[in-house]
Amino acid sequence: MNHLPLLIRREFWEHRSFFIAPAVVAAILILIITFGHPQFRHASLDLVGNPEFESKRYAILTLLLTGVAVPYLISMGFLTLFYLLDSLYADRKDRSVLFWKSLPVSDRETVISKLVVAAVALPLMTFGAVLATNLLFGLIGSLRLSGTVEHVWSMVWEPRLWFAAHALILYSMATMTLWYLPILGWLLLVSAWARRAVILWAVLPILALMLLEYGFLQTFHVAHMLRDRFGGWFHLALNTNAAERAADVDGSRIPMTGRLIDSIDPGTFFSSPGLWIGLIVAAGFIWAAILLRRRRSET
Amino acid sequence: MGAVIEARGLSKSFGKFHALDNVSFSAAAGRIVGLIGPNGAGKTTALRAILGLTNYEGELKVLDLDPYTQRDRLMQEVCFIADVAVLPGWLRVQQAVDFVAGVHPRFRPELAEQFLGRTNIKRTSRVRELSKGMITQLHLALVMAIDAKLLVLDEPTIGLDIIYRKQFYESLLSDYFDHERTIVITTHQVEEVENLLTDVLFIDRGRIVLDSTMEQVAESFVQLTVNPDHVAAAREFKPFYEREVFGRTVMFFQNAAADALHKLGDARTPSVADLFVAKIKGAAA
Repeated sequence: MNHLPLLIRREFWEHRSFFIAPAVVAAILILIITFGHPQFRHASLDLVGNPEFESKRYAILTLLLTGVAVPYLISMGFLTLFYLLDSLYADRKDRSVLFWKSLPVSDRETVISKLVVAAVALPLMTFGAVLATNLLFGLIGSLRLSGTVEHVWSMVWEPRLWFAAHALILYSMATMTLWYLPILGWLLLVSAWARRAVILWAVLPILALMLLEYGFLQTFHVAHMLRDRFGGWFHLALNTNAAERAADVDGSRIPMTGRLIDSIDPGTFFSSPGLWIGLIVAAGFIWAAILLRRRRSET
Repeated sequence: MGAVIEARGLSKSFGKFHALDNVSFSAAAGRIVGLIGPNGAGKTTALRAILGLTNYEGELKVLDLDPYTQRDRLMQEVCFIADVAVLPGWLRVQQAVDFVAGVHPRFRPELAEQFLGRTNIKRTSRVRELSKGMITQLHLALVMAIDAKLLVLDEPTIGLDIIYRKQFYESLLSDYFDHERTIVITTHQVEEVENLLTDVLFIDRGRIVLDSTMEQVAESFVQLTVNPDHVAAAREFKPFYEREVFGRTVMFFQNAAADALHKLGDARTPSVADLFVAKIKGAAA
């Protein structure tokens, strides 16, 4: 029997922050969209109404639509971090693990359900929130510009623009999840392991490893590995050179073509050894988390 | 059908402390076994091993499954309430029913509804909003609606008032128990379960002190309140424990000539609680 859908629902029963966090982001964004000056990477709603930038309107709109994803992604990052650290620890702490383990659900199913929530359900939900916010953004933006810009409705609601912006967001989220999977796996492992102070267990062993390496070998491999993991995704998944080169003709630093979707670079991303090594490491962490989940019935 | 629980040479240590020390026992289908021991005797460790919540040394089969590696399959046939109610505070009553219904093939929601109908528990309440007694009631309603072959109860009625405790054991017998099911129960209130039990298993410091059916208990144990002038004669029968109650000597005998003892005072079958104390103290002396 497949318990996964119900196990995922269970996580949403428990964690109301899955709804509250995006709702707060949405509320702030809607305030900015309606009354403020929405802008992202030198593109702003005010520029759309500026006749000097008529040729770059498509680019500005693409940037604005993708920009909406950024605060959602930051909020999702924190949500995921705290969710995973708690996921195999909180029920041991309040001893409800004894109830969950009294049911015919395997430890593997339990761990996998937490991973699926973090790596699939939350990103999909976040994407849905981005799309909904953008639809509202399009509507309010069109209304705000309708006095100053001709044909604003057909320009804002151009299907290619929407497809390109959201394909880029979806691609970024998918590749990000794969790239950061070893970190998600590590958090699960720590959550299954720690008897207290989960956050310290997540960080201190790595700091200790870095210190030992420096103290004995005077090298920084662990630190560099971490730096490459945290900072490596962007340049592997997106090739922004083409867009950057087209920019800066008029000093606005907004790419001329606005074809941000061209920066999608799955070839480089999926052929990078870093991705595959990371996935293997992630599988190891997840496997270990399942074993620990079986062993630990209480803190 | 063979034994529901079969343990051979079961051991579990925490550092130098032997929670279970080479323990062997078995429980047959249709029995209600009371696992009785002082705090720290190894009761909980034994239950945890049976339920697949802890690893162990030795051999253990529950319903022919290895509880530690096959816990998820075992839990289709077994249900348990381990320790006081441990339902998480954020869970709503309806969610609890829905969840168990979704993962447990032997759960009958209508039966859970029927049990819940006898309580004042609202379906929309979160567990943290319920009183301790209500949480236990909810947990019991969930567990009793599962058609399991083995039910393990670890202090099931802690936090309940006496009326509900009585109700619980009555419905355990009338609604739940039939002669194919096995129940293993631990409790500090031995008197409450005494009449339910078919078997007792005394455990002390990681070892089995007594493993017996209630019939055997009645046949082989005698508690004798000795007439003051027969104390010396009674001691001839080698009591394994004796104590003073209101100035009179009470002796406990195992496999002694019951007929002869009757002439020396007031003889009867000891209660489980008294027998337990006698066994533990007698072994220590």
